[in-house]
Amino acid sequence: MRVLAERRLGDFRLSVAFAGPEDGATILFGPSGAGKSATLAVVAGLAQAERALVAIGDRVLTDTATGRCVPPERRRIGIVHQDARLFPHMSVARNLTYGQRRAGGRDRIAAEAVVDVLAIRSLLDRAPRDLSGGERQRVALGRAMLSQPDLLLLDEPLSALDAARRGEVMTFVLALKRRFALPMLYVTHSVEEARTLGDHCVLLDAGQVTAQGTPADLLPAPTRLGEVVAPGVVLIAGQRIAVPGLDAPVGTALRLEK
Amino acid sequence: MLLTPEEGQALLLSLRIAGWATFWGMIAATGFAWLLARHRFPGRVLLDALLHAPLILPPVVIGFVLLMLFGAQGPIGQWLDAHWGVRLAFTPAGAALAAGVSAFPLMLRAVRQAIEAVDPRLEEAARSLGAGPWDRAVTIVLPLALPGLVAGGVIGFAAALGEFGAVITFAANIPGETQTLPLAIYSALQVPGEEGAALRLSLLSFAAALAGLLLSEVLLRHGRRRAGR
Repeated sequence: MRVLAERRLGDFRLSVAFAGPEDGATILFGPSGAGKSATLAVVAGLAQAERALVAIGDRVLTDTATGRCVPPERRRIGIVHQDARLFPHMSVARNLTYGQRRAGGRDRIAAEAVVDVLAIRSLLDRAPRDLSGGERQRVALGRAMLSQPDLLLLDEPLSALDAARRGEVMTFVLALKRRFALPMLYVTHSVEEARTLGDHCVLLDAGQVTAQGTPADLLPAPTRLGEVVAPGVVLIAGQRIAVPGLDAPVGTALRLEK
Repeated sequence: MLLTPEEGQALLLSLRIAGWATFWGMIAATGFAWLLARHRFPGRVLLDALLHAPLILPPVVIGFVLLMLFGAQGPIGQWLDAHWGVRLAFTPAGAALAAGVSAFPLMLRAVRQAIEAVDPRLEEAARSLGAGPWDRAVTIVLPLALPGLVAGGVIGFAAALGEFGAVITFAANIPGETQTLPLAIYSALQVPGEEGAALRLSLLSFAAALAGLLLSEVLLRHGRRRAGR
């Protein structure tokens, strides 16, 4: 996967170039306003750039030098956002197969396998409004996978979930990655997510790539600060401290995150 | 309430004319609503105003404009007659045209609001899943806009059913041809001692509009259940 994007958005100047492994997860890491979303829009074909090159394997999707720009519906890029964007007038099953039915007969990723890996068999007949946040994200992941994408684009897919659900959904993302060997581009500002999933990491700041490498090298493990030992009670440096309004479950580790 | 043959005829004719006016009006309204809701182009505001003109013009002026355009001497009327052998002025089809044009802005507004209310992010999701523009329109936007489309159809139907000025100007008042319920009521009122007939016809048009409203309510509930709201 190769990405180059130069875009001007008002005062903001985006100028990024990076390459990621063809099977494995590339993390796009940076604070909000670093240019992650602007980069994603170029990769997805939803935004024009003054200069851009997007290629997955030998498929060139955008190349401003030759004027090539494949429209989003033919890019074969599955996208999962923080809000699941499930179609409210369709059952879970019909949501799942929406992209599959439009994949032109490509069927490397089988519906049965995806349903099993994501453990959503019992949800198939339900309506999206009857699902929990975590379940919705799992269905959105399945729907994107079944569109038989060449690249799975994940735009902060866990950030709308609470801490407990985040770990759960991450487990499923990892399971998909292991089972289907598919390049992923994963946008996040969480060190933990980057270190758990990433094979390659691209650090973005103020529209520029500041470093590339393995997540372990670029992003030091968060320092462990303490732990939740009872509802609303935290143990830090041997002291029990009451934290009113803290709803993290018992056992949650507290870390310093930048 | 048993109907006389004349009343039955006027009722059926009214329903047929209002039905066709709504059918073609909704197709045009959906097309234009899409254009106005989803596209930016030069002259958009002007087109918007022009499409709303029937709402502010006196109905008799609508009928007169239609006569000038679609009448036997009008440019479109002559073309239709020469190429298709179709005459609109003073025919049931013409009555439907006049009623449909008068009711058009109401349908346009309802459909446009319904289309604008569909979350564009859902369409974007469908797009990334391989759905082209028509595919997205048919599988995402129109089903989600369905309650609004039904509402637009009902209000259009009610307005077309009640249209008087444009119909009588463009299609005249021919019993069995273009004499819809409002026109029949008007004719009855012209004859001394026919107030009873006028009252019966008025109740009839009230019942027809009410039936349409109830039907739409049923359709709407069904649609809401499907849309998950």
